[in-house]
Amino acid sequence: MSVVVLRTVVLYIAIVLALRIMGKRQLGELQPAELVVTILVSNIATLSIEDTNIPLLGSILPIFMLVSCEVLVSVIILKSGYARKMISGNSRILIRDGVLDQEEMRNLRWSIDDVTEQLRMNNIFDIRDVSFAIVETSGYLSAYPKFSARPVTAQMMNIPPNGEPDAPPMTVINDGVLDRDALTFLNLREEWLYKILEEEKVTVQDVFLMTCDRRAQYSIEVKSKRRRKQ
Amino acid sequence: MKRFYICLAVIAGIIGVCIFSMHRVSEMKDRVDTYAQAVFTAVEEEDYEKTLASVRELTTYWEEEHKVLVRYIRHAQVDDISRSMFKLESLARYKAYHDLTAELSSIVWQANQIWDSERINVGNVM
Repeated sequence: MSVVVLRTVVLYIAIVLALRIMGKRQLGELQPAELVVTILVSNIATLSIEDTNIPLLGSILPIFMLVSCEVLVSVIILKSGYARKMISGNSRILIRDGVLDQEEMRNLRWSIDDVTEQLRMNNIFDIRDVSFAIVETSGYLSAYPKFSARPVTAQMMNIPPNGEPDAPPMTVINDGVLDRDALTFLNLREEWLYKILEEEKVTVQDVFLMTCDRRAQYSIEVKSKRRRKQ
Repeated sequence: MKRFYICLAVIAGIIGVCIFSMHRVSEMKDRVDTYAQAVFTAVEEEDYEKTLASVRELTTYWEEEHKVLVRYIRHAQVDDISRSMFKLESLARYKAYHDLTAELSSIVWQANQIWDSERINVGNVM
């Protein structure tokens, strides 16, 4: 039994390593080839965990081979448009000016429920509000609303920028750990941070979360007493 | 591009392991064959001491080889040979030469089977 548990741990480490090699892009948005790799990896790993007669290498090598092939194919796709079309397919236009392309729906085998569901995920509840909708190669529907249905922006209202920086607030202290890279990104100095903490009568270790933006506007959440004791 | 080169290195490593394992299995098949031939010859000559020594040589070799083979060959295949292998000494000691040669033939056949299943050819790939 302990052998099974140890094999599982080894395989877990191998899969995590393999997925790290695959990269974040693949984890976030699965292309057809990536989906195949993900399913195969899980199946191959299960075989070795269930059957101790199968050598561990018999699972680890195919997993790394699959992931390596996947990365190589993604590089080829990146370099060659033809390969991209062959492996990932093309995006398809599904709605033009509020009108559904029924022929394309049949080709994609999408029902009207599929379309409306995907539109709702884009915050669009009426097909007539769609100016343009494209089915991406990953299977997601990207929709561009008509002007009348678009949310109002500062640009539409001709509101001038109020000097607020475009960069969002960043986490400077996470569970008592200072992120120096974030401070550098925000153009802030450590001296400033320690001065603020002194004013707030806390140390870095006492802070659960501290966020800050480029205008040095910050918010501090102190650790609860129970967590501080640990 | 860093990942691309990591993957090339991983693939090179995997190919290396495959070549090593094939070489090892091929060597195992040849050595089992050679040791078995030595036993067959000793049995034909009805030389008790030589038979026993040849069998011991084969089983000692197999004890070491078994540890390496189970890392990349299905354990059941290797275990079948081991099971037969450890009968050999008793059979030789008690001069059960008929059973000894039968068991030995089975071992040679199984070793060849492992080699056949590891070889790169259309039949195995398909």
